[in-house]
Amino acid sequence: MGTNRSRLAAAAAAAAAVLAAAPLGGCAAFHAGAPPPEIERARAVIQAADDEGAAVEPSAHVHLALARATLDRAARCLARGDRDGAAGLARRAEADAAVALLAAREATLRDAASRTLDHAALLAEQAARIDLDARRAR
Amino acid sequence: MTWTRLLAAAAIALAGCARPGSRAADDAAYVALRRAEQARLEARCQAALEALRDAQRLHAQAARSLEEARGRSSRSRQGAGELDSADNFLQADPF
Repeated sequence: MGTNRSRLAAAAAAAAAVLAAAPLGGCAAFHAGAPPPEIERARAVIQAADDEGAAVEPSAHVHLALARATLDRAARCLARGDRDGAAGLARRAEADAAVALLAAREATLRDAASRTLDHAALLAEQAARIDLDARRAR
Repeated sequence: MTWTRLLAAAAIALAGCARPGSRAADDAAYVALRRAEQARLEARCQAALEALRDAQRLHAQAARSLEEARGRSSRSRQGAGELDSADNFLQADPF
């Protein structure tokens, strides 16, 4: 009888430990609700990176793909009720998308600078040709 | 005894499932790495923007040079045309 009581007490203590550990541990399966704001932020940065041309820029494409895959994982995590896990993955996705956005922006700027220089060289060549023709005509 | 072991194992498993320190630390470390990459790319974007502005200045200068060359060429053709008409006039003048 005494042994049974002590077993019951031990079981109750362990059960209490389980219940106490869950919220402390932050296992979000216990408090699913509205999606964490990190998911919306990640989605917005992914969209911005896409608008910047990251999907077609080779140096940015891989980062954008990674951001999308990570956001998908975050959504699955949230569907399982793991809100903290989803928020963490969304933060990762946002960081990946920001890298994609900047890589695409850099490529766009470098391309624009290169095209502008090429066109400037073309104009300078035309000017030189006109001057040369005028000198020959004199 | 089995019950207590089972419940203790469950407690450990639950705590392990959460392990917020570990998972959050992994996420934070990953985000910090990506932030460093972002800072590097921001510096490269700034350099690329300056290169674009330099190119635009060169372009504007080249466009002005071309306009000036066209102006000179046009004035020179006009001058040559006037000289030609003066020659024709002199040749045609009966006096």
